[in-house]
Amino acid sequence: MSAAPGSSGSSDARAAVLEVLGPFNKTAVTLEDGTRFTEDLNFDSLLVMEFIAALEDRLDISVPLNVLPDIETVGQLVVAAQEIVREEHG
Amino acid sequence: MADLFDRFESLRARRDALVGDGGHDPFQVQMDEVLSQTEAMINGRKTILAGTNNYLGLTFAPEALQAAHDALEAAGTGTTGSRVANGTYAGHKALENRLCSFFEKEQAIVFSTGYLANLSVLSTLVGSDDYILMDADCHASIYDGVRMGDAQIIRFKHNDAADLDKRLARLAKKPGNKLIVIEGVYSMLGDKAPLSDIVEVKNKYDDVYLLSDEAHSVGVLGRYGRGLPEETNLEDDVDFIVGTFSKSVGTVGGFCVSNHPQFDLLRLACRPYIFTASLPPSVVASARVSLDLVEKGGALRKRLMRNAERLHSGLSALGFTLGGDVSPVVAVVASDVEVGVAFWRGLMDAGIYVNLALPPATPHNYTLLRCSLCAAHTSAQVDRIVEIFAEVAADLDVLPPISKKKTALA
Repeated sequence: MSAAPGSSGSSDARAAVLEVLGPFNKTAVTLEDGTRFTEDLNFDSLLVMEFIAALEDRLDISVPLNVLPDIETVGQLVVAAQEIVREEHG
Repeated sequence: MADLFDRFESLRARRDALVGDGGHDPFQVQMDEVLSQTEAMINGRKTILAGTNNYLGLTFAPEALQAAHDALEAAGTGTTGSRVANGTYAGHKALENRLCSFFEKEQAIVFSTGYLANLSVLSTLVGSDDYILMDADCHASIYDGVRMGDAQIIRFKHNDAADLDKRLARLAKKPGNKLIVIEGVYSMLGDKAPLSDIVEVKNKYDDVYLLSDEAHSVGVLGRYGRGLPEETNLEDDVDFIVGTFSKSVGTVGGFCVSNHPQFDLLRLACRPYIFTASLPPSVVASARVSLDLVEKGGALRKRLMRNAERLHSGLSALGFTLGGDVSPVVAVVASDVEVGVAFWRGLMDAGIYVNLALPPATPHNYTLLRCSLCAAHTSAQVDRIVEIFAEVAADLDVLPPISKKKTALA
């Protein structure tokens, strides 16, 4: 993966993920790379879909449904989003 | 030790919250006796059926019944196997030929249900280098079908051709075929796809195919009942039409039709086709005859639309929030799940059966009292449905006080 945390550009994806995720976070959990969507934020499949659609709008990307099962944490989503931004807009 | 069924705990809790206090269970409605296309005995009460998807009312068509009886006598109760492994009956081939002539397409494959048709085609037609661009509000069978396959799955916003365009543009430089997947009419709200806009977007790019699931529009739209592509005169632009026999055609089964010359290869590639028992002869025979009735069903379509308009305007005049424009699916939006369940039970107690549709199966997380109309409904039955909706709303005190204004407009 080219989009290792801290590499140039990944901070944009991280900022976008955190910004969009904020209103979806109904818990008191502080959002960090290790925050898990299901266990920590209580996301169900429906909420995941709504959140991903909002993130797609924010970054002007398409997140294939195929990548979602492998994404458990905020940090993993940042890496995946960065990769897609690079592919679609790079 | 953990019980195997512990993982369904949240499902159990949700079900118990919904049905725990007695009354009709929305998930286990039992029709003890089906009296006609529009009436059944449920819990000892004669009930008007307004949630069957039996749009043209062909389930008791004498021609279809006769064909089914004859085939049953001639070829037996079942095929006891799949067409690939155990053989195709002449009836299956005759039905596929009839689908070709009905849709004016060169190729047709029959599947054992509409769900299996989508599983089959969507899991197989596109491979790991390809992309599926599906409307976000597509049916569960479409979601399940694309998940079974290897293609990259991208959702576009419901009925938003501009969003589709944006997503196709971003993929334009990538190799691989792209398959757009839509429905002609969406099942929950009865809204139509903006087909001409979608076709226009499709035609801007290379290697893009279009598949439309016409489950809820075959029999309903178009002069000959061929669905939205016929109604909009865009049949040549839709590469694959998927459909079902379990709605307007009045029995069970699914199909896909296409003009692609290699289409028949799917028979050797679709696992849900290869490894499923084929439809029994009686079902195949009634489907074939019912397609004739669908094709010349202009009068039925008129009656269906008249009923749709009557119910839509009746409920709208009462002040109900409806999910969409006039269509044979009239979806009443309930404010929340509790109100929806109470309302649905009130309707059942008064002898009206509609579908209770709950999130996540609904768009916008709506709780819906989804009515579907039938050409065989009488005006009196439709009026009765409206009347009972008004009574139940009054009992539950759930109608906003806008009904007077709306009545004045109507």
